[in-house]
Amino acid sequence: MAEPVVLHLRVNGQEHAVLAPAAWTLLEVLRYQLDLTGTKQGCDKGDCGACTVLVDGRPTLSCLTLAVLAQGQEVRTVEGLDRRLARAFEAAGAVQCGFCQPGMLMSAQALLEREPQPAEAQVRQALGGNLCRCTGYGRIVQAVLDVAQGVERLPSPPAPGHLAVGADLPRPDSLGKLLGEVPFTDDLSLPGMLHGRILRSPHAHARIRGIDLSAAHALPGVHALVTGADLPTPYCVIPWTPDETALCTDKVRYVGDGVVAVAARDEETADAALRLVKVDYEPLPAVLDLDTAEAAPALVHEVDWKGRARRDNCCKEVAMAFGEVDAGFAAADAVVEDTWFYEGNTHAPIEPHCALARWDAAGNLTVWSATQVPHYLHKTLAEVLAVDPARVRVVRPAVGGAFGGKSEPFDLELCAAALARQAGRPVKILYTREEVFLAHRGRHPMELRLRLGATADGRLTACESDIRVDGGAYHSFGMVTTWYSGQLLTGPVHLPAYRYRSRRFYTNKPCCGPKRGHGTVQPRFALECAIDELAVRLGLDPIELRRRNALPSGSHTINELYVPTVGLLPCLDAVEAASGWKERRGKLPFGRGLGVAVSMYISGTAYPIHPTDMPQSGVQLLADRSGRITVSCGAAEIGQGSDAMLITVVSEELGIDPEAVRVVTGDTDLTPVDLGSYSSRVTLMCGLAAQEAARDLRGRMVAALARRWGVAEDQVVVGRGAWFLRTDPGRSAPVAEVLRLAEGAEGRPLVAVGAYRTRKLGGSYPGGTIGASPAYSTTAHVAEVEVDPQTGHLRVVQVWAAHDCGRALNPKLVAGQVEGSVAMGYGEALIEAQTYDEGGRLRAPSLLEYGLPTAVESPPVQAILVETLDPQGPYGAKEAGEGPLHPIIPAIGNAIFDAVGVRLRRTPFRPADLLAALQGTG
Amino acid sequence: MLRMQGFTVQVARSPEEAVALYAAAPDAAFIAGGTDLLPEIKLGLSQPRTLVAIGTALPATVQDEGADLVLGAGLRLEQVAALGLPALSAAAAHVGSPQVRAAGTLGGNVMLSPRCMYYNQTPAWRASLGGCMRAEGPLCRVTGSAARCVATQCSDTLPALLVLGARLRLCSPAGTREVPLADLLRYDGMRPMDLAPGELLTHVILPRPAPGTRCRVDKLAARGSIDFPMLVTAVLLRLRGAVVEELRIAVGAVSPQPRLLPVDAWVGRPLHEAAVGELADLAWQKVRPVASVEGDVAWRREVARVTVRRALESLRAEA
Ligand SMILES: Cc1cc2nc3c(=O)[nH]c(=O)nc-3n(C[C@H](O)[C@H](O)[C@H](O)COP(=O)(O)OP(=O)(O)OC[C@H]3O[C@@H](n4cnc5c(N)ncnc54)[C@H](O)[C@@H]3O)c2cc1C
Ligand code: FES
Ligand code: FES
Repeated sequence: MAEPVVLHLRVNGQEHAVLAPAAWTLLEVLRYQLDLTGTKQGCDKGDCGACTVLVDGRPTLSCLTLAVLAQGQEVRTVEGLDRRLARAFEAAGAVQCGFCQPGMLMSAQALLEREPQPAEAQVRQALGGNLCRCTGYGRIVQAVLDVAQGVERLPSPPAPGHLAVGADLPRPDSLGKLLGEVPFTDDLSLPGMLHGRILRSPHAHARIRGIDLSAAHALPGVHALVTGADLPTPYCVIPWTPDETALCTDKVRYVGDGVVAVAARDEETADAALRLVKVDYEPLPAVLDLDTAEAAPALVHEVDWKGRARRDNCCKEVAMAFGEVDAGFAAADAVVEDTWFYEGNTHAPIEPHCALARWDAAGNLTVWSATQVPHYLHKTLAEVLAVDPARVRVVRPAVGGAFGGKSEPFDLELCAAALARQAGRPVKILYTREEVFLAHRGRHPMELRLRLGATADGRLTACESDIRVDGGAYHSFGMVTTWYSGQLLTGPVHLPAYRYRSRRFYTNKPCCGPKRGHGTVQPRFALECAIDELAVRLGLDPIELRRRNALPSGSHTINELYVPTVGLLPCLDAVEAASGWKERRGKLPFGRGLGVAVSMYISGTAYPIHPTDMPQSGVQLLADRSGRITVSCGAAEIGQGSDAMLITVVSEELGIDPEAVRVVTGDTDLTPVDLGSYSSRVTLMCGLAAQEAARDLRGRMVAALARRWGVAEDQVVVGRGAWFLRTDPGRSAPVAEVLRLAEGAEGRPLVAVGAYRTRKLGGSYPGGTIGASPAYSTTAHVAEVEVDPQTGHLRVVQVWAAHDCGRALNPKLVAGQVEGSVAMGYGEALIEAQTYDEGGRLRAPSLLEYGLPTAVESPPVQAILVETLDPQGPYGAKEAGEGPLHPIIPAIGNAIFDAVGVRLRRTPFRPADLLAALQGTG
Repeated sequence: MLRMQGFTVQVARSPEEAVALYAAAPDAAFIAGGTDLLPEIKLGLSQPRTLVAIGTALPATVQDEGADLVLGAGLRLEQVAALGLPALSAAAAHVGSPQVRAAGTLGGNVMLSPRCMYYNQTPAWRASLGGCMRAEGPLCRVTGSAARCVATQCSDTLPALLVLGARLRLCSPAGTREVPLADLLRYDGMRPMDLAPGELLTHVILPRPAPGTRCRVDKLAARGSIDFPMLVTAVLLRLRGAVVEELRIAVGAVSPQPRLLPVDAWVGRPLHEAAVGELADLAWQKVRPVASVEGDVAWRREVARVTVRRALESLRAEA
């Protein structure tokens, strides 16, 4: 390593003299020398803006600034910012995971210092170098305009008759995230901590003949090295399909598959060590596409986890039929049939995955990780490291975006733990951005053959699909994906007869998995575009066609899923009115168009990943004598707002000031188990568990107060901040006092627990539980597009998204989920693609090439919340974080057809393809 | 993270000192804003042992020298964007993101390293590929031949500078020279400019356009911000009545070399509808995008035709 130099830096008005290598960036010095961890790292090469600081007032990428050259200049970081902007961001609901926010604030600050009264377009330009994966930017832009215009946004009050439900409570951690004080995993460090790296395969498919670690071992500063042989236990988040190991044992199965992990005194040394590792590979023919996978000239896995020889690359096949499909097609007046292709894409959270592991002297393991599933990670760590689960603790610091991309154990967590055990020192592994792309588990590419029939008056008669799913090298959640691609299509537009076959194939590419809207984004695209085609064929308004086939609330789908509430009609009405559909559609000039699409999605699954007799979710409330309640729950706050949701529920039930409710989540030592943040299950399941606990506590508090006041229990009324006597509201007791009273009356600490217990749901057939959920959300979108018929350039002008969330416990957070879903779907529709070259190498392994939407071109989204008050959800609530992603892709596709008469059957809708189609050459 | 190591930094206070430091150090590189060089170092594409920092050594001034406007190579792109210069300011405003423009310099943009999807990758990625002729391998991965590297010159400002007839002032231990930009550009991704090692760009010189000159630059990119261009077109037009007095069209970001199209035949002729169409077709004929960066090549070619036509139409309408 080069000689360190002494740097004199002026940061936030303070002089610092630090010793750092001459080659370090300002980002490295700020984060790792000055402990100013508010400045984040998302790509380390200029593509994301998370590291933005001000240098002499200019917004500056600290990852592309040498610290040496920042000397003599005024550096400002988020830690030195006043709270004006941060408060406006909070009030506008502009914070989700928070990881992009410090950088975003710095860019906004630079703008306002230069231009105190910017127009919206200037704000969008000024934030154009800062990627946000969560919000779709609308609220961020609004917040900056609010500051410029002196607008103060007050939170809305609770809904009528409620104490907290319906109020826009700010997230408990939003200010802390904005100002950079809430730690994400890479912000943590421990005494003696080492840094790990993983050596990855250069081959798409090869047998490992030998690994020589001797030179790496000999390198000074290297403390531990592990290979697949050290961690041979196969695992999978789905316990039925354990087909991967922490590091490869026999074969590598994609370019980037992990082979060796090293821990060293710093990342530079770890990298140097890996360059000294010699792996002897025997390259094998690679399987890189569906046709090859199906023809199976080579097998990605030669044996399965039970040791049985495999004959093909198909790792899951589902074929189901419901109703009279052939008769349905025979009765149809119009049938559309075509093949659709949905390209793979990935989550790309701005925070790269990171894990930190430590073994204490007593042999207990703690792993801090940016994970959505602390519980499954806990289980897998115990299995793979062969350690008693009672000795394992998983802590989830703040998570900087996940979207399904952090919802299973990854090699870095297992390797960090193994390396830490070998080294006897804590080990941190932080993925590079390229590794985040390689870890993937994103959207599966799917080729879909779909056939749909309807009568002349617009009644759907039958639907049939045949789907090939490109799975990548391992299973991940792929078994579920395969089922979902068929099971979840049967509402909110009723399919009276339905047959599907779906097959998932192994290929020599990074493993696909669950991305937001898991399993149904792809078939939904095909189905919703096919419905549009039918409408055209039958001369019907596509909104009307969907109305005529609306699944009624309280009914069963053709595959026996019970759907308590379906908000399809109010959602369609809302987007029809908001978009001016009736007045404008068909009258727009050539090149402009409107398109509609709808969807339905689960609020958790009745059938958990690990079936047990124990609850899916547990919540514990603990009161202290200051009048504060701590809610603990295993749920993972990943930016979606689950911590705020728990506060709303407790505050609603007990009338307690939300600020007096503390949340402890995502620490397996401190919280009851919750299965994790996936399948849109948290609001419904943890919400009900919290409600049960709070109601139990409330009952006991009511009893204590009634006894104290000498009145019947029904005379006690729970109010906001204080409880009072029904007949004499002047007589009241603050919540804190009631808590103390109850503790006194019970004579022991005031604790209450609640749980969500899975009920048996679903169809009577084998597999019928898959897709069965206590409640389903409904969404309808209208998109307006503008196509340049000469260049193929496509602009999404505006999106109207009506989402039936059952009940908006916190309207601002729900709207944020809807907007964020649309934004992510917009990227899938227009730009994003996770594709590979002929050698299986990722074509776009960086945020620059991959291309997340920026603030400049992202369309405005109007989120409209529809409330159907589902009897199954807490206060009627159901999911909001995934379903609203589905319709945007087909809505844009249908709008393109409306605009220029071209039907694109392949995502993303690239201008080159659009132009080719327009010119009849595509 | 993408850790860098193995270099020291020397800060030059004048152009002369910069070239002297460069000449004295083995494996030196100039660093101005660093927004292009540091990603290259982080990816192991460049392994300098000495970085000669020229940010404060370079002039960041705008001098009016009568017939010429002389721009310091140290001007940051956001400053260039704010100068209100025809073509060039708009081109500078197109570069990357606000942060890139706040640090990146005009000099760095002119000297931008050509880009290729087989090259601008991590060492592990390139190792999997087996490298290319520009780094670690024998052949160009785009063409499959060893004739030359066809990485794309993605600079946003070069086409604008070409139509403006810019000259570059270069400083080296041997002294100073001034050369028309067009004479320096080469069709070679590994040596996109005909410069001696260690030559420093100090000034970009723009001849003052004749009154009535109008310009336009257009950039084609996947997103509204951050992205490098997939096509840049710059058009300079001066009309007397309907007759073309001066016309230059440059196209960049399609190959290693941004180029002026041969449009002299249209000078002295009226720019009516048919001539606009001919010039657009000429753009289509001459633009042969190379598949070294993202973007379908046939499509970029077609968009070049449309953009040139629209630019001419809008400039003509401004009259
Ligand atoms: C995310 C991202 C997006 C980008 N998007 C764009 C884009 O859209 N369009 C675009 O054109 N560029 C883009 N860039 C590239 C780059 O930032 C700009 O081109 C910028 O102008 C480079 O200037 P710099 O001062 O930072 O150059 P540096 O990185 O300092 O230098 C670049 C190269 O030029 C040499 N050099 C610099 N100055 C001189 C000089 N005066 N004399 C001789 N040699 C010199 C250096 O040695 C180095 O090889 C992008 C970069 C990033 C990171
Ligand atoms: S970390 Fe600096 S731009 Fe992404
Ligand atoms: S809030 Fe912007 S990335 Fe999560």
